[in-house]
Amino acid sequence: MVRAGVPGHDVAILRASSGLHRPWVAAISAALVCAFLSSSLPDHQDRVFLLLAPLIPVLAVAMAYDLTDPMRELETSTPVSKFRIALLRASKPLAVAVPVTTAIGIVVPGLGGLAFVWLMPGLCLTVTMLLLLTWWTAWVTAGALAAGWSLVFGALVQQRSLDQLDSSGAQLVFAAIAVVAAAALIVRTKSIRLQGGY
Amino acid sequence: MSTATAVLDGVSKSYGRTAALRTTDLELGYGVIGLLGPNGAGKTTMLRLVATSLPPTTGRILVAGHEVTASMAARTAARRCLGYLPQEVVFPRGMTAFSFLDYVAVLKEWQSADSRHREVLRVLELVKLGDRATKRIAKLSGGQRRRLALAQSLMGSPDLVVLDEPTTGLDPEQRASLCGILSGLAGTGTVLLSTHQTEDVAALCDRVIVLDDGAIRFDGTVVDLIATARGRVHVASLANPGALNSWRTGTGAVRSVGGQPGIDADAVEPTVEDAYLLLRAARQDNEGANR
Repeated sequence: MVRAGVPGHDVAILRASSGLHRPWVAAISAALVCAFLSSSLPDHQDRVFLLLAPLIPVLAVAMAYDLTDPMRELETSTPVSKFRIALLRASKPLAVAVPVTTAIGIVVPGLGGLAFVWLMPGLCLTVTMLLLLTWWTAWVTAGALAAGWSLVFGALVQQRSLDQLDSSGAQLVFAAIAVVAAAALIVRTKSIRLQGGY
Repeated sequence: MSTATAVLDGVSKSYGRTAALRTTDLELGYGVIGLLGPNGAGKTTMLRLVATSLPPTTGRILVAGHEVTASMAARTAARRCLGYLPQEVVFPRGMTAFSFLDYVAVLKEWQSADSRHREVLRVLELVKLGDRATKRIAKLSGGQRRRLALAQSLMGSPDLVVLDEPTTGLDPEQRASLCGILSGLAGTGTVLLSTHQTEDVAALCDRVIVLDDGAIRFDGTVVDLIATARGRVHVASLANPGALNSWRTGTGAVRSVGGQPGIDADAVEPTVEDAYLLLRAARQDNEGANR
């Protein structure tokens, strides 16, 4: 990682995040469940895949934030930004969740065209989650986003306009939300950096 | 100007309707300060408040001159001056002693790998784990893990070291070694530790604070605490049924704490434990009388 340009102190944080195998396993399991449901419900496989796939990175990040931090109390009393640690940790399971879910979209018969459609909603949800995590706890944030995404998805299904997700307009909306959330996240972390937080 | 390393000014902590720590004013200066009290007395809450790992419900906390309750920036500045050993440290799996401490050094903002590694080796030597640096933590004994956890709190020689039951799991030799380390720190900073081992307090602490039911019941020197029990601890040939505690010692004599001494009883020098037990009993008596 150092050879790849990752600073030594960030490598030390990542190395200490050995508990990250849990969000890693959860992300792969969720991707496999998504693949299983998609292939066993051929009439609804696009709905199942597009509903679940964008939530897999959300699950991975939630677990990375909440479940795999055995040293939380010790870390709290140190000056380093907890948000920075969390971001670094989230990057590790995301590096697994995104390619695995995409691969499943490619491999499962009948999903080929949707393999990449979920990426933009997934990015949008994940960046929004990182932003909301600066206020809320991991599972509250994940729950709120899952509920929000289900509502949006349900509305699209009810209007029989699910295929619009694949349109460049919809993809642009998700991209725009992701950009706004990322900008807000940068402003938020630069202004408070969550250094000194409890 | 106050020379206190930490100040609690009207600090309290409640969880819902349960008061874990009642309104408390306290100044902690240089030296080793022991917190004694039964389980649930509020010791860990007080330590966590001082270590900035928990926000108070009311009041101000200052650490090394920084008002940690005022702003995040002040809290961060305070955290640069303190080391904290929680009651239980769960180690990340698969790490060696060295990599764990290297990680904590990163958390403490040691950016340069060279100076970080030097500091890691220094604290490993300090807790006598220098030869275990490359061992996986899972392969260390319970006592060695506790010393490793202690080592992280000593990194960077902080002004304030907060230790929650540091002697738990240590054998007598290791405890003696720990006493040596902590007394060395006392000259240049403040060590605040909680313990159930009254002999540790007697051996190590300049000052002792007894907490019970979320409030300070005693705050003074070890000598002052022992003095509260003077004339109330006796040895006799027969058991003293009115005593708070009474037991037959190895010499065959019965040692009793509190109560009315028997005819053949001789007063003996009390220990910290005797004084602590009497303090607790007095409080329970007061509570009973007030009901």
